[in-house]
Amino acid sequence: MMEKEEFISWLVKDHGYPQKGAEIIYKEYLCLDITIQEALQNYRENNIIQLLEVEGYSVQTLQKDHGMNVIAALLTLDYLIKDPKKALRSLKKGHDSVRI
Amino acid sequence: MNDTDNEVIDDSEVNDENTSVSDGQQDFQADTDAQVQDAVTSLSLIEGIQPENWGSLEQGERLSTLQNVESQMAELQQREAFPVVADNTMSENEFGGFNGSEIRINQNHMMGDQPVEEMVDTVVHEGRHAFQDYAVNNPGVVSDNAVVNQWGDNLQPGNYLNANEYGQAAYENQPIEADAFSYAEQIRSGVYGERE
Repeated sequence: MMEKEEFISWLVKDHGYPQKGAEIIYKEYLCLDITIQEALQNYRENNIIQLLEVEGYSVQTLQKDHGMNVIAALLTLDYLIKDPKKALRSLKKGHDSVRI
Repeated sequence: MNDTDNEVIDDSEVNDENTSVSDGQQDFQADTDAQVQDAVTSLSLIEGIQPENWGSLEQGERLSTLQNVESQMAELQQREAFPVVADNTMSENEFGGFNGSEIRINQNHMMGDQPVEEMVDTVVHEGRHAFQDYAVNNPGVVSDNAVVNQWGDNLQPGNYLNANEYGQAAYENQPIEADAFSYAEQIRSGVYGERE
């Protein structure tokens, strides 16, 4: 398992997350399904995006159709594994953005 | 005064504090329920958002109809109404946005591939964000201080978790989105019925 500081530093320096946001993702990372956790680790260490499909969604479709980056897509695949009914309904409803 | 008297007074003070917090929560829920009912009644009277009428409306007419939805919601929420703007740069699954000065909706959704109830849901959802911002900046508008504090924290720069970077679960579960989804869904189902 990645060290906390390394992981957060990777999110902040390589992906532009704010410190607080990176810490939120790290907490989620610790609770991820093992398949998704390994995929995220592989992405960080080797820049490889594994071919995973959950409930008809993949990293690639979430990037293309929902505008997610790889990290957000992997977190969403975890959601689809753990609560598919709720996650599918949520993805169908899409998203918005608030910038005040 | 003996120790027993002190205990009685202390218990009373604690109970008053608990009752006060509980009242705030109950008032907020009651206010929200009343607002939802008023919105369902008000929006149901707008002819343009009836599915049988929406299909025959041109782009400008659809936009002005959705502006009417926002104006009525703003009046119910006793806040400023914001312009509703059609945005043709949104991705397929981006439904809308609020930036503090306007409500943006997905132009492709408005002109084609989404039913009118989804458009109304989006305008109400974005309008709820406008209300949250208004409540944060005007203490007392919402009676439950804990809710307002959560909204205020969530609206601070860097605290909003967008789906593109944090995934769908973190996005939909953050306080302002959970509230807006619940609020808009209640109104949508009140106007159009439960989803199939």
